[in-house]
Amino acid sequence: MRVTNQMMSRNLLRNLNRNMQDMQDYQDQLSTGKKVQDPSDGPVAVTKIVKYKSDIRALEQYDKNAKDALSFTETSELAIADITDALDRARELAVQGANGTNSEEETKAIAKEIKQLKNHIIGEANKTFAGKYIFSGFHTDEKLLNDDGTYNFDVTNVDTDQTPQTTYEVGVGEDIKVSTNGLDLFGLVEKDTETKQILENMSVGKAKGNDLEHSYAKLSDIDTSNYTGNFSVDVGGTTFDQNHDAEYSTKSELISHLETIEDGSGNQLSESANVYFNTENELIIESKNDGEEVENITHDGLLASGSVNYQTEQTATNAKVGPDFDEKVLTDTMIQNSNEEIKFKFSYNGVEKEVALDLSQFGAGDNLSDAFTENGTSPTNSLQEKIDNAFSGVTDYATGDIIVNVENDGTNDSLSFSGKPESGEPSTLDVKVIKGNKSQLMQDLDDFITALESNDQDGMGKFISDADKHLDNLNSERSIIGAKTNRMELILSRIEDDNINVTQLLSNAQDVDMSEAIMNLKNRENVYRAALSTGAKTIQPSLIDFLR
Amino acid sequence: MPSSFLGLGIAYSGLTANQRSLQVTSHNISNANTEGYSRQRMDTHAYSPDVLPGGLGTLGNGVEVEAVKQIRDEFLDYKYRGENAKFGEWDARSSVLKEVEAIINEPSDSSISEVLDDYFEALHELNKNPENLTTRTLVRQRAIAVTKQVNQMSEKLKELQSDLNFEFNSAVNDLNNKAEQIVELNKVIYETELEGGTANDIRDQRNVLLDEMSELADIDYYEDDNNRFHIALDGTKMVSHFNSTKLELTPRAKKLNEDDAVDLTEVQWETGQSYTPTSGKLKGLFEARDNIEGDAKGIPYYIDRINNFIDTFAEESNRIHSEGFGIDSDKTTGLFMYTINDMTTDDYKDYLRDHGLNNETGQDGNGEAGIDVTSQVLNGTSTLTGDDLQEKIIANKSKIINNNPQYQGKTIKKVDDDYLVVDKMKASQISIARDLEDLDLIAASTTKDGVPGNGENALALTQIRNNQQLYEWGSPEDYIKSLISNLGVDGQEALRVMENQEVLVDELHTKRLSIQGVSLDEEMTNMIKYQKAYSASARMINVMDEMLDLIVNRLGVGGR
Repeated sequence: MRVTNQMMSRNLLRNLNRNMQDMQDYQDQLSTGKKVQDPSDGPVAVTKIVKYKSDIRALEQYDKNAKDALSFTETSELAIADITDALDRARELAVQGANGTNSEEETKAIAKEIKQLKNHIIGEANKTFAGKYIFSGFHTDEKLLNDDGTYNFDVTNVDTDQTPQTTYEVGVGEDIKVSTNGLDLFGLVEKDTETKQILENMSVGKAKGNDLEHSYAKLSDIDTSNYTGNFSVDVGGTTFDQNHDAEYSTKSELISHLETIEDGSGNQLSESANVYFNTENELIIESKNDGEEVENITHDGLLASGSVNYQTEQTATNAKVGPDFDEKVLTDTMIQNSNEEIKFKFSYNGVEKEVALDLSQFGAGDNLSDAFTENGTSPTNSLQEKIDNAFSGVTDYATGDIIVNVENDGTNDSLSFSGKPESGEPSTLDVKVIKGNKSQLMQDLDDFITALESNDQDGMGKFISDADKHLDNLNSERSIIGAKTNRMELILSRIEDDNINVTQLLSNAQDVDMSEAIMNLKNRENVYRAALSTGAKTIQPSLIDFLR
Repeated sequence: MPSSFLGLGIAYSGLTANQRSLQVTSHNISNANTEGYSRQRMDTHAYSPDVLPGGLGTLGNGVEVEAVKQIRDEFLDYKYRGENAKFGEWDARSSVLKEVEAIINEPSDSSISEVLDDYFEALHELNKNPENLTTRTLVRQRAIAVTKQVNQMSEKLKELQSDLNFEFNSAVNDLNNKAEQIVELNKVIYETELEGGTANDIRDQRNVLLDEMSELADIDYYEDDNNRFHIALDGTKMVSHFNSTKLELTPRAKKLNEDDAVDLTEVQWETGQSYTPTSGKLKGLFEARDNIEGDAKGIPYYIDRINNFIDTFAEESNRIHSEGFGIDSDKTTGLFMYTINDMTTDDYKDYLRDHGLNNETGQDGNGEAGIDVTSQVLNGTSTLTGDDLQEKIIANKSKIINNNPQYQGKTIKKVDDDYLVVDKMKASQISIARDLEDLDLIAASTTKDGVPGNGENALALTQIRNNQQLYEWGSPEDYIKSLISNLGVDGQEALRVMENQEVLVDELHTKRLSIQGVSLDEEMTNMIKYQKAYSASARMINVMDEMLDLIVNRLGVGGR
């Protein structure tokens, strides 16, 4: 092969360049410490790196969550241990007080100590973790117990039906409930038997009315081959059957053909109805306005074998809560024997009102309807009237918009609530019933103090069994927490292992083997040097240097 | 008996031939480094001899100059140009993909997957401390970071698309320019060669231009029997002897892809005939600028993938968020987490209802009303409400979209209780819902009674991270992984093909240089050769002169 000067210089330059490029690659690797810089350097390696990095971030978060969960449960455990100790001491004092040999002074002294213990328990019940009240359920910004031992917030059926528990995620799809519910620890003093029954037998909860829907006709199995173009439909009593001369062989032509059909006064069908095909390839003609029926379709051969199907959807309906006849049994006797106040919270279209109904005003001869639905009848106020009074003045609320229904399925009466649709829009109704606000544990302590102060031996004796019940309960809560703590520790060690593994994998995928890279760089450098020195030798001399 | 002066003539022919050869050698040396220069050679042959009578053979009459020829392998030129077009194509593609890689910026500490990790972390903290304003601030800031990140990616991709458009336009203009120059050279060459011979140096210039054109586009060229030179581009004559047809750039009337940059151009022949590049840099740029799918995916593909990513992500986040409750719980129900162009949830819902379809700018006043699919578009939805309806719609989403060609590329969004066919959320437009400036409205709780301590809705939002059903490519992380793996594989292929082509082109060019290049050693040898011959011819004249001197001045003077 003939070799020319330009060839030589070009080749030299190209090879030098290639060496430089290689050196640059290794230099990049060494200066960043990473094997790959861009996805194109190694698509597989890069996707692995992205995955591992993200995995590590997730593991770090799970680790943080698990540690937080551990602190949370430990704080709860300490508080419950303190409460248990206090209650143990109270029980000891009860045993001491109930032996019948104490003077009045001594029982009073015991009462004083019990008061202190009660305050101590209240203090523990209001314990905080990172600024949150740990036993307050979701009311984390409010303390659980007031100084007198009542709950700081109304306990509704929502609090008792669904135990509010803070959930942390400590692994993919792996949740842990970290909080202990104060209600479970301190109990709730319940209403008298009848009131309790009434509360249990009412359906309360949330409801939403249905949407407005329109009237429509459905034409299935469309085939235009035998169709003559004569079509007639009534929408809201107006007949559309004029002016059929458009094309109609394809779907979109058929739609525009039908849309342009007019009534007698030049109005097109498209102004009153939507015409379209649904996903089943059925032709739908749907009225645009509320209450306008789509009916009386004649189609003159448009359908191969199918039929016209007229349907009308519901308009807006009441939002209704309850009843369930199978389980909810209410009797007039319950009303007559109940002596307490029932408090409801009604939230109608977002406006919340509290309504209290004093059942003690009802007595012999009164029935369910008297108490709940009858307006202005004996004795004075029914629930219906109280609701209307509470909501009077609320915009868009007219008397009777929330309806209290007492229904009878033949054997049982049941109570339910419904909300009227708000000017055609669906309404929302949320009814809660307040179950009380006094803690059972506190009540028992208060009873004990009273017994001590009045030197009532039976009362003191009763507290021993009450305290045993509460201690059992506290211990079972503690064992639950203990189990959670164990689980957290296992999870933490697993997370640590995972983290080490994934970090190792990431390092394998991403990090440069320094010694190898340096060796490679040195190799390239040597090649580069050799290329430079041979280049200097071959490029320089030519015949000219040797001619005189 | 030959003429006494014949020897002088022979020597003279030797003098001139060698002098000219020296001139050619000198020309070669001068142009040793001229780009595209092919070496020249003086062809000579012996003058027709005198025939000696009596069967004595012939007597030479000196040398005659035949022609100055250039040494060039046209087959190599042809091969070089074919490979050069492919090189141009893959070089353009590879450099575009490199830039896309820089924009996607994975793996790095500031990439989209890192920003998402930050965001999910903030949500975990919110789950644990929903009553805390600090965690709420963090969630808001991290969500803003996610939106800014995709905004920026989308904007940068569009910028790149505009730059590519500019580069494409320059390349087209360059091609036109070169065609024009070739026409000028054609004139000179044709006129020079009318008298016979070849216009070597000017042909070299034309070859250089052809080399340059071959990188831009796939050119066919030939010289017809009448020495007229033609160039065809994709079957259409671009240069025909003294005429050239230009490619014309016109602004594109309607965007080719929904989310393209503005003011892209269309190319066609000035005659109105359409033109699609088939190879060369033009094709590389053209595909990178316009292709949303296929083997050679361009910028629109990546814009579309990012839009698709963020649309689904925002829709799912909005669905979960709107079911939750913030601290000021009455106002929070139904609030979105992400909207576009800094809108509030209500503004965005109104926008979707009234302008949500085919709206390029994301502004009110453009676009069409979103199409409601609540009613009977989907059979059997009328009896369903709430979650059942949602399940049915989501299950039939693709069916609804695909049954109507005009909804291709659109999506179905839930607006209050309606499901509307609307545009996908564009990555360049997404923002956090303005309502969430009030941090209390971030819906961390799943129930109204749960505020402030219930953080389960925040937990539900974090679970998007592991939702394998979210995309056709799996979870958000899987989606990003697939995207960069596609990008990486394409980029790697482009780089590999480009490098292979480069080697091939270089190899061919080296071969060409081997044939047409000037070798200084050779020229030096020739120089000596011609110089010596020239001197020898001069010496012959001296000898002749002495002979004539002998005959004229000294012969016949004996005895004087």
